Amino acid sequence: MISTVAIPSDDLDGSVAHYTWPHECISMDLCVKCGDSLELNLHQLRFSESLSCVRTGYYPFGSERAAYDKLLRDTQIELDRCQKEIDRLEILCNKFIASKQLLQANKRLIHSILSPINKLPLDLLGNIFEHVCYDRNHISGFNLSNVPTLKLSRVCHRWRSLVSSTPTLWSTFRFGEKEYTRRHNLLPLFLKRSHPCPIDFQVDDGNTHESTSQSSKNMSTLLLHSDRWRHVEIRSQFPSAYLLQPLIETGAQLPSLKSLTLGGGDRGVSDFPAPCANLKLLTLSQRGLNLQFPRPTITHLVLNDMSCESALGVISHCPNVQDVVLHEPNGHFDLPTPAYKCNANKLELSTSYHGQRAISIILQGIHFDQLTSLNFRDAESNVQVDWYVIENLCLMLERSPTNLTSLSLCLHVESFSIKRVLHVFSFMPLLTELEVGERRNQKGSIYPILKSLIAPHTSEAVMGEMDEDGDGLEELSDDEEDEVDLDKDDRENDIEIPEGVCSLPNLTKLCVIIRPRPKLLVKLLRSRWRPSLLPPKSGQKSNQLEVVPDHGQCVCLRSFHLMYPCPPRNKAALRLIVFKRSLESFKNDGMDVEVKW
Amino acid sequence: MIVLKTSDNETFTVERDVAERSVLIKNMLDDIGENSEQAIPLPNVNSSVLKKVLEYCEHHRGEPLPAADADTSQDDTRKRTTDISEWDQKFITVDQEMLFEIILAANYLDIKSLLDVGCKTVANMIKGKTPEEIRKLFNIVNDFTPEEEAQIKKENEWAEDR
Repeated sequence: MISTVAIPSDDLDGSVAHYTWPHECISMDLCVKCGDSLELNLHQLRFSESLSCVRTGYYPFGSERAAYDKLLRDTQIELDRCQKEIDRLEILCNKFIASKQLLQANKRLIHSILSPINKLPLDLLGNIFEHVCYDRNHISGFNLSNVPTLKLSRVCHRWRSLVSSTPTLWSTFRFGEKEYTRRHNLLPLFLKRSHPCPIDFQVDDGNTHESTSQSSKNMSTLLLHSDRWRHVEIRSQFPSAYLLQPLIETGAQLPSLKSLTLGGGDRGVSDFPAPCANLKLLTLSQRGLNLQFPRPTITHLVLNDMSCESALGVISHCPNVQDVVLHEPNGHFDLPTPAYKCNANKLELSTSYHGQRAISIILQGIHFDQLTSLNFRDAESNVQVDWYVIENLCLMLERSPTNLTSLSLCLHVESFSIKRVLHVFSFMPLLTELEVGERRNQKGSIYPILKSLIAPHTSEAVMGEMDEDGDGLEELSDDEEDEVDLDKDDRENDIEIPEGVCSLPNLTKLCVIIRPRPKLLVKLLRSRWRPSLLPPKSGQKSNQLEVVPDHGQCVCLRSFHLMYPCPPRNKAALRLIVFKRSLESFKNDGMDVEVKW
Repeated sequence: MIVLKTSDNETFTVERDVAERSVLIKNMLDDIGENSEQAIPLPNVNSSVLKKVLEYCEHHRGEPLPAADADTSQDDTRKRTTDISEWDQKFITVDQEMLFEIILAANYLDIKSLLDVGCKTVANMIKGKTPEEIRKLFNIVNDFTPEEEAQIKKENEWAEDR
């Protein structure tokens, strides 16, 4: 019925002629249960007649006029009835919509109740949140994605309560160089909610006046909480201006400080009188720090791009340091007498071309009496290290007890002849681990080292264990290098080893970073692979130690790792695979062999 | 060999060093002695989850167990990552239901390394997502009270105005 009333596509501003008027009474069932219905007899309203009158310009007078007045009233009555029903239905519809929304919310609630993450108790959820938030709260710009702690607090009521009541989630934050805007002040919120936990923060203020001034304000706020500083990292062009000076002036103590990193600024030296009863790791770049009194708690020192004088000054204030990393020291000065003493057992050195003199001064100036591990590499791959630097290294080792057991040497030493290699190794008789790396543009630079490691066959028994003909090993050709003309270079063949010499007799672990020279390496491995000298395998209880080598003999090499220095291409990759297969026999016999790229 | 009995009454026979990746089982074994043939009841772990957990323990057998003070030393050196080894990543690629069951089992059985893998995996799922995306991911409903909504609004204004 209702379908007979065609509604115009446009609103009532369109032509009334678009309406098709029904010829019968319209009845609309509003409730199928109670039979409530709305009937409209629109036909009696004589729509077509009225339309015709309008079109002809007819104007009614007298009784005609009264008839039209009545028609108007009747139309208004029907209109009101219609509107009333619409209002009622709208209310009903809104109730339906509201009920639908309630049901949907309830459905989501039930889904949420059944969500597997709700199985987790709060302590485990907190553990996950710590992984999410650790080191990632970038609070200098208000971008929710950079502030995971805030982000987590906006997921749901349970998560918000947990985040708000977990101070550790607010205790790690940083200020970035690029995000300095006026919207930076999440700091008070983090300081408040992290209380009373120790705080870890990182400041990198860039170079602009605005950022430095902002950092300065933040540092003033942070100084009020200096008793909670734990891991602090500050990189700035003006460290003393906004960190050290206020610290000195206020006489603040840093009782919770465990690691401090200061970078940037000029190459001067700042005073640092603050007592730090728990400081373990100190990292400095460029600018030196006058620690003023001994710092027995510091066990790790990382000194980057500092003058050797500043570096020695810092080392001298750390009597219990265990690890020292000296990256590209520079400058020079006259050594005081007596020289410094350092109790570190691990030393890592890297040098630039211009920093060789500084490295030499440090090697001359410090006694490393406890040294067991030395890592020496060049900072740039094209550096050619002068022999005098290595000589100073030997002198340093000569002055110290010979405890060195681990050496990593990844640099290109000028004129590193077999004689010089043997000379260097003679200062490390207890060495068990050796890593050597070929520099990218200096192929062949470690051949003398590898050649010196080929053990002489002093025992017939040992000879018997080795496969002299290479049975079981794939035939390896040394002339297939496709990246460089590596194998046309046969310098290794010109290297003569003195008769009966066995360098590094206690070597058990060898790692080489090299484009492989299969014949040289296999020969080396064969000469060092002496499984009969190994103590019984674990599981068989024994107090037996490995056989200590006599003069001219060596212990069994247990581990050989080769790393290709760059991604191999084409034939080089195939060659590596062939080489890897060739080492299978050693692996099968029990050697720890790995070839990686 | 050790016999483990799950909540759904299935039994698993495993080698001692595999079972002892769990500190809980190790302590139980220490308590009941070497030669006991009793099955160890694990009422909080069902068979499908224990099967997965044992797969992990089997793969990592022989590796050193984390020291009791590992957290403290991590705290000192400030070394913490959410990196997960390739094998562990493949192992933990399971549906959410199983993932959280593994975390709960690792917590109950006291297998710290597995608990770490599970927690890091969930952390990595959360990282980089908006609150709405997190809700969708875990089927969590936004149930903030009007007071909390007002507080969040205030936090936004507070952070932006100063």
